[in-house]
Amino acid sequence: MALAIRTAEQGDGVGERPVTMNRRLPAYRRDSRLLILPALAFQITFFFIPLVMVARESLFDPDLTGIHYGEVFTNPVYRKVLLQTLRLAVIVTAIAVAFGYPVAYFIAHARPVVAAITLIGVLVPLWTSLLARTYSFQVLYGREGFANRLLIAIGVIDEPLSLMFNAFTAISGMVHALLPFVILPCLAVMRGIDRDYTDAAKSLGATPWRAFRHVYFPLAKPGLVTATILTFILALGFFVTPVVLGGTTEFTVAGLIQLQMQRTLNWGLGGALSVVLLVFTGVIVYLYQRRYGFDRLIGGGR
Amino acid sequence: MTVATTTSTAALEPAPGGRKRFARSIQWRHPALALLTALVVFYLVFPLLVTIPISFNSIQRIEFPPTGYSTRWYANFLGIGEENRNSRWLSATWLSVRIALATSVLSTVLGGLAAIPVARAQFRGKNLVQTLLLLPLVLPVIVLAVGLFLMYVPLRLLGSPMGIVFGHSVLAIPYVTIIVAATLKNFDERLEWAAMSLGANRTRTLLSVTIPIVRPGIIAGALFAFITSFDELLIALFVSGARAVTLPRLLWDFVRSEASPVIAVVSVLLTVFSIVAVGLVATVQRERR
Repeated sequence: MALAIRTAEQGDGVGERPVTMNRRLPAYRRDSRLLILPALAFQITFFFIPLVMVARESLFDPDLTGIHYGEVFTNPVYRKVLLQTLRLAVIVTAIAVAFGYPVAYFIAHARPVVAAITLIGVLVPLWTSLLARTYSFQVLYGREGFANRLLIAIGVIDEPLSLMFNAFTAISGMVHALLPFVILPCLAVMRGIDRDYTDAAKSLGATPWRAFRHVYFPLAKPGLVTATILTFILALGFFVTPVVLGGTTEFTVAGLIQLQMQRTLNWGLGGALSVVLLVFTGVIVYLYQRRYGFDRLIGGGR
Repeated sequence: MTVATTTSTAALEPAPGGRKRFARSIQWRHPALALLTALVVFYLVFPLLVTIPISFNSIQRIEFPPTGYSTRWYANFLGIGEENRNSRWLSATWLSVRIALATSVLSTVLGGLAAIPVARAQFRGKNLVQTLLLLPLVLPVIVLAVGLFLMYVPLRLLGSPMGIVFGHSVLAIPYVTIIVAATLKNFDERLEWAAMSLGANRTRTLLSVTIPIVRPGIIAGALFAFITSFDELLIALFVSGARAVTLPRLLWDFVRSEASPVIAVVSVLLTVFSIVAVGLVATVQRERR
């Protein structure tokens, strides 16, 4: 791009013609900025206006009131759900990062064929319907599901255990759903790390661990941070998995919002809970993008 | 949901460096690391396989292993046979396909156009506009679903497939923009200048030079948009009403209420679909090189 402009300014044969062409074009054709407008108008209409509607619903009933927010923060039931959501998101993120980081490391440094096969094993579940995957966990953990039948067959237990609807199933389902969101951003950064740096460290006498700890890890840190933030904000707003696998014991904000909107029909409260979730997520995204820029989060670490 | 997937297709390509690096990297591999990776991949893939025997179960129960085998749940899904007439599954799938196609077209046009200035133009406030454009990817979908519901109530858009298409496009446009913009950034703009210096006007250049070259990006973006819509539950759950029941919505109703093996049938078919999609994107990306 820069090169093309320079040649055009110098007025040599290659650039000249397009420039004159440009002048003949009407302004709206010359300026590619305007091409962003249709998408922007669409997002304002169908994204920002709905968010404003949510905020309005939470604040007016029909006059300005803070009653819904008061309810969210003082009612022990709702406070418990908020804290539970936070706790679940922290646990799930920690587990997913602990397992996802080494896997990304493995893929980044494995032989190309091995790396490709491993990666397909990560991508296919990611692209498979979340509902289908959640159902798989019902099959795994149900009363007559795989885990119970296996444990009975090998004689560990006599009676089927009640494995569904607890923290364990919710966490294991969410970790399954979110592992790719750790692996892919980490992998994207690790692939770009020049191994000469760690080799240099080792040739200067560093043990493999020291080379990893002081050279590789800092270089891969942006990927790790992106993965952690992404996984955490996705976990905070997760709906399907905690509701289906966690049941009532692991109720999360998203489940509570759906309940208020569609069952209890308390739209004001549902709106207030939505705003709380939105603001909390928004603050995390804002802090992240100030440090690392927004592109990286979206591009999954690139 | 699938935020990181933009990386995923690029990641299918082998790491730069190739063979020469390989010899030096042997010391990087450790049996424990390989074992851990194998376990994690097993954990990721195994649940998808478990549903296969269930989908062939002969009775209406989730049990492992199934007592008998039959294809009755496949017949149930496909609407084959007298008792399966008017399969709700088929009509839901068909509706989902139509909504996903419309979403794909709408978001590829809007997102693809927006990708041009995102990749090339420099102007004041670009960062802000870009952030506004891409924000739907990182904010919780449930909040958008609630907002669309509140907006559609007075507009009488509840239960209309068009309302769902608009909601899904909000999520799909950022993907298309990111993917197409990434392709455009790798694109040598001098090719366009060459075309114009040979007398092509802007439209002709766009159609005969730019679009063919960034075609893999456009196809990948359109495919992402399709999958995003096809798998989307929350917006459908809030705005579909009783009329526009999409496949994820019907699946949700079944997962919540009954343990019918027909859900396993759908799961198996959706897994096959995702394998085909991953293969397709990998092929398109390969074509780019």
